[in-house]
Amino acid sequence: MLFQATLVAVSAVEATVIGAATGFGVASPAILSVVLAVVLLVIARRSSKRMVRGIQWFLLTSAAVDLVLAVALGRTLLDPVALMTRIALPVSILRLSPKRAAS
Amino acid sequence: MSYVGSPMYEVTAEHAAALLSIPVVLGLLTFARRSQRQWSTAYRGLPAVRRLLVSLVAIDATMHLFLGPTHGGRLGLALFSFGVVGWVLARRLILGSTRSAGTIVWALSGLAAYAVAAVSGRTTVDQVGTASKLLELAALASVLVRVQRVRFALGSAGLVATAVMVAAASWAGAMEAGGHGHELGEVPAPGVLLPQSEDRDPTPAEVAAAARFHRTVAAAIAPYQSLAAAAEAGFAVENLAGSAWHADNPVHKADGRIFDPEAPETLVYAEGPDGPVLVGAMFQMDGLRNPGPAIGGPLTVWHAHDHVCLSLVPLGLAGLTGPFGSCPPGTITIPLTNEMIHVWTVPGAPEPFGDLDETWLEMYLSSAAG
Repeated sequence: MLFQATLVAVSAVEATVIGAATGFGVASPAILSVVLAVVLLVIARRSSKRMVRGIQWFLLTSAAVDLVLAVALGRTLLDPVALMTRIALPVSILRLSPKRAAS
Repeated sequence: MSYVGSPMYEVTAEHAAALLSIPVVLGLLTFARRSQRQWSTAYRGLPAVRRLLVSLVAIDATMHLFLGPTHGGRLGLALFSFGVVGWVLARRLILGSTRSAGTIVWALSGLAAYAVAAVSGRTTVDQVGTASKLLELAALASVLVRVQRVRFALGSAGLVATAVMVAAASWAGAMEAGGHGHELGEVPAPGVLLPQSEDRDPTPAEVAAAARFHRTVAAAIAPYQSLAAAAEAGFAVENLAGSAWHADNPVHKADGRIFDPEAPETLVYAEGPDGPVLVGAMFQMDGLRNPGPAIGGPLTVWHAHDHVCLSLVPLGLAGLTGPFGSCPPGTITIPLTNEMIHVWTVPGAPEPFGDLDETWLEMYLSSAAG
């Protein structure tokens, strides 16, 4: 989850920089990225099963929407790196997260 | 219609061999589950996090062993050596004769070397390179599991800083490798798709057609330097900002007219010291993969976009898919857009079609001030 938090933090920096550079970026993705990165960093240390699963399912749903769009519009799957970070990583966390974590 | 995109979202030929590392390491791990050798018995007895770390190091090391021969020269030797050291590290991790420091030094050296190579253009930023760096970042993260609170906080901050550095280097490398003129045969920047075709000289007829079209567009959109006139014609000119503000016209987008100089789908404004300046227009095709009419041959190259991050609340562009494969949370990824072409009508523009040089535009706006 620490690794996942790191990737989300990178996303937050990218969204902020690109938004500032282009002038037509919107702030909400950057804000959401920062919030999610902080939450992930905190629960990477003290995991709450419900929260872990909630975030992983949120990320997986988002990846699923993009996968559907990629197949429907781009006639392709997600890129290999995206498959690693957006599907394999959340699935691994769901499988490896403790069965009885403090909630 | 087939396109050429940025290598950042693809697997380049020089890195494809590294994909062989996945079946090789999976085969070795399967072997390790059954074999009675010392290292395989020791591997089976490791905690899950340590086994994960060994797997990450082994896959990354094997990728580098494959990358060495395909690169050749000093870079190839460095890559191969990094792979050999990685395997030595993996063996020591299994046998318990090394601590976290070895993993940290090995992973950080790989990440730093990649960042330097990407920025200097010595390696192509692609999916294989990024996947390799993800494995090294994941290895670093796994070292931080179950450490004390202060070390965890410091380590997390260092991990995030390292990941940001690698992402920034990847962006810089990919941007530097990409061309900026929307010309046939060039490597596009991230997010830009160009038709797959060789560059060639335009014919005299194509030069004449392009010039004629450009003159017609310039005359047709000249009245829209007035924002009031543009708004009256249906262009969304509210809240103009930045150096390339695209003011859409929903009616023109839906009218079915293609490349009509009298009805551009979008006007482009730049924010100058004395207010918005009309710098050109953008024409769009209807539907995906419909090639635009290249009336000027290689002078009028249409382009599409890929890996676009779109925020839903509020609706707007939120950037491009990053090197680590993600758009920011709360956005969706648009994998492909319809084709479009810019026509630059601002006086003295270096290129009448394609991409407008930002440095030139800044100089033009500052000289036109007052």
